[in-house]
Amino acid sequence: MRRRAVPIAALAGAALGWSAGQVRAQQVRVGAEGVLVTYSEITKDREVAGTGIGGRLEVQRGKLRLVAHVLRAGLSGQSASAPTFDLIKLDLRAVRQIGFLGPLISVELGIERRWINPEFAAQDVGTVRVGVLSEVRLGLAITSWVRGALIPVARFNGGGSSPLGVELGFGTVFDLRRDRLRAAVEYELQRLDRTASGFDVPIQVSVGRFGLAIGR
Amino acid sequence: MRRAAARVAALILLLPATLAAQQSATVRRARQAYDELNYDSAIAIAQRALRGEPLTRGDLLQSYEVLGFAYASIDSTARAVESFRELILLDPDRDLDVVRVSPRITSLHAVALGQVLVVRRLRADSAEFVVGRGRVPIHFQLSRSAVVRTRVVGPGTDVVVDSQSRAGENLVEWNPAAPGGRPVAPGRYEIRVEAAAGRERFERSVAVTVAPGPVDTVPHLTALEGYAELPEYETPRRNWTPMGVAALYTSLGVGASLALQNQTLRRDPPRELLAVGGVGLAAGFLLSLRRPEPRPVLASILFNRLLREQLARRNEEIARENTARRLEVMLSIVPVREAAR
Repeated sequence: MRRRAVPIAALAGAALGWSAGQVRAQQVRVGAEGVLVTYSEITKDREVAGTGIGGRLEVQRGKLRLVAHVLRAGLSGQSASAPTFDLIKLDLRAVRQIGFLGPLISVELGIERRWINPEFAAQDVGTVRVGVLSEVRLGLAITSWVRGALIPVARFNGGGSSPLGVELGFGTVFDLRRDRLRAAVEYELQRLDRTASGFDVPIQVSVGRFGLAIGR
Repeated sequence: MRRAAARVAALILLLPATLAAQQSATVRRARQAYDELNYDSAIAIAQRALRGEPLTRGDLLQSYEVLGFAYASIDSTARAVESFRELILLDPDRDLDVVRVSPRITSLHAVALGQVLVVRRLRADSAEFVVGRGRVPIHFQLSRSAVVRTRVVGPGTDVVVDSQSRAGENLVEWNPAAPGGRPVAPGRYEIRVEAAAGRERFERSVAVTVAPGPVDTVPHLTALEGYAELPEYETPRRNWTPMGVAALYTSLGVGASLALQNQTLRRDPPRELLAVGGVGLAAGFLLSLRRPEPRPVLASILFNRLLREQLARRNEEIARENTARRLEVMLSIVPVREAAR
């Protein structure tokens, strides 16, 4: 589970009660991504950065869209106190356009799970977020979007809590080949003001994704 | 009328020359005597010429003119009028030059004109028209009231065109169409004007030729006058909205990310933020630079469609009209000469 990509589409479809045929009838995209990750925890001396690869699965039916990201990046820092570890991240998100406003305004509900290897090099985190997404089509083939979310629930394998976290993201999507091929660039920033045993131990992750996806 | 007056003026002005070329010696002497104001001698010589010699038509005209002028000059009114009557009967279209000839003489000439029955200035105008859609104008003057009958005689045709009684200017129109609307046969036609008043009769004719020809067809239209097709596509002006929207969203994302960063962990923007932000801005800029695709203009498309329909309809009408025209005949009527009787 920690190192294998999960067949999210089947799980998501099953969760929604779709049959295999219904799943096939929807818009489905699968893609690969290159990622740039910057991870900061506790102090800026412990900041690490690195690159990695990821995958993307997207299923859309009408106004509802399910998105799954998975990435693995090797991170290291420049200071002596900076750890070196692999970051594995799984992100599931459900986005629903709002009535006549969509896709200008959509609401999203997401869950995220991060694993660190070796364990305790940094915090394993699980979050639930609620947010809004705004998309606008610039032309025939380019869409810009921006989103923001609150993280009301965060769990850490090292304990502690984060009363309220925030997450921001923005990106640009390029429709190529009559919408069968998509290129996308995205940025995501997650900030968790964690406290543990009375100490402030904040966590901040920024991820840049550069990917291609196929499907229709 | 103008032609006849010019002829008379030319005769008077060129009298010596024409006399030298055509006149008999007697007539010339009579003229000379008149010019020398020797009226009695002029009368005697002119009468001798009329009685004794075979004279050409020109000599006859000169003789009677000299007689009329001379009698008028010696106040012999009745004989002057009589001479002018003979002159008019010989050449009904002849007019005296009112500028050069004395009013007394011209008035006596007018009296003579009122006494005789002649058809003057008979002519037919040239015409060209489709059979059934035109007529040939025939003009003539009647010296006094009389019963007038205008006939047209030609190949297979002898038709009375008009019958009236009117002095002065007359206009008659001839429709050169046979019964059934067919054109008359091509060839030479004689237009005869026969005037009768009591026992006096005068007939005069003029000839015309009638030639058939095809009726020109109407060319098909390639465009309606005053209307031109509008361009059905237009290229919109370059739109900078994509650039603006991309800048808005990207700056919103970048700005919010920078503002939201935990300053204790990081102050500078991470590289991935700058990379994604730069791509977003570049995408909007490049999209705005791209030349917009031509887009259809519905109003122009509908207008052009309507225009083409109208053009097609008009050409259909032209085609029908040409079909009818090819069955029609164009007649050309041209005067040949004038024959005085």
